[in-house]
Amino acid sequence: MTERIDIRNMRTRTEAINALPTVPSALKQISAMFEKPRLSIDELSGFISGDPALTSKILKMVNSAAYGFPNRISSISHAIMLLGFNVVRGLLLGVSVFDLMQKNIAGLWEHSVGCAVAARCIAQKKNLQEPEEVSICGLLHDIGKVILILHYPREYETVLAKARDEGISLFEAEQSRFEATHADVGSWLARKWRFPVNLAEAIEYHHTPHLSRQAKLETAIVHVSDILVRARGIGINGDMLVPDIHPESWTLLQLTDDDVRDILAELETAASEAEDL
Amino acid sequence: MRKVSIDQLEPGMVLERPILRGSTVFLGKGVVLGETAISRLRSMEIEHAFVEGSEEQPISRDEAMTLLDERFRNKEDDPLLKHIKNLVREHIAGLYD
Repeated sequence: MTERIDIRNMRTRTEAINALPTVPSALKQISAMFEKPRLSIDELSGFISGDPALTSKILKMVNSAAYGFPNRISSISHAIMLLGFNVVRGLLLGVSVFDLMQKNIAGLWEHSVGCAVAARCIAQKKNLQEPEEVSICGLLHDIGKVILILHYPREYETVLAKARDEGISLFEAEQSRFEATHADVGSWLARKWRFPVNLAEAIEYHHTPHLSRQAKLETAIVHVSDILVRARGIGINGDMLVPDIHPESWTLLQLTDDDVRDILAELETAASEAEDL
Repeated sequence: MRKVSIDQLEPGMVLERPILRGSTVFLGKGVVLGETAISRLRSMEIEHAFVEGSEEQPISRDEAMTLLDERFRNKEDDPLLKHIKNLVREHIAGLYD
């Protein structure tokens, strides 16, 4: 058996994202900006507004079913005001990163948008204060896959092939080749980029929600959203199989059958929109 | 909601989502499309619009159900996943009614 890539190597490379030649410059710029201890609203909105393509993608996103905002959001500063700083930071990351991705893991974007929609829908049903933040957890939960492909393209190809050939999940296939999974990698970055702890935990534990300590609810929401989106077959994130469900997460959320029907209906709308985002 | 390509728009269709030009609304939700609006849309750089009505499914009902079974392969023993699968099956069936 090939030796697994060790966790320290993975963490060092992940955190050195700004220095690696394989990482596109747009992502490096964003990474450098997010690492700053004090990023102001003006800097963030200035950065996005300076790029018309990025601006229009983010505005499309916030005005789409994924966010379902009742009022039209017409500018980036308006979006920051209504949705919050971290939500717009998360959207910027999502839109920029997944753009790079479609060619490596087709359908990852649709899957991620689906999870964002399902997560927001569940968060609203549970009366959470910030459903949009939970939606960002859904949007970014698989960001570690993108980073692994950028850092270890050859190794990750073998992982993708293994998952496909053996009919196992990508999460399992990763463990045969790497000491850490996309969930770990994503959470290292979320912390490095100063995202709130609930986002980092929801990413870290979306396959192992029982391990979350500080964000049990958000993690359970992302875990269940991931399952519902795959159950409906929206997008592909490297494997189509519905993963195991952790009963604690399901019990914690107390979703009724009607809740599940509502989520599936919202996913239907969002799926046809996602292709345009 | 139904997604149609701009070429297939017909007068009388009702927009289910607004059409934006830059960051401003060009045509709002609920607008009934007329000949003029449609020709304006064709001259803009957009590909699709969302109108009222139900989405045409890209695959047949049988195919959709087969794919559903494949996604839940090896999960027959989990009562919770079985329950979720049943809800998804009902949902998919509803899309073909």
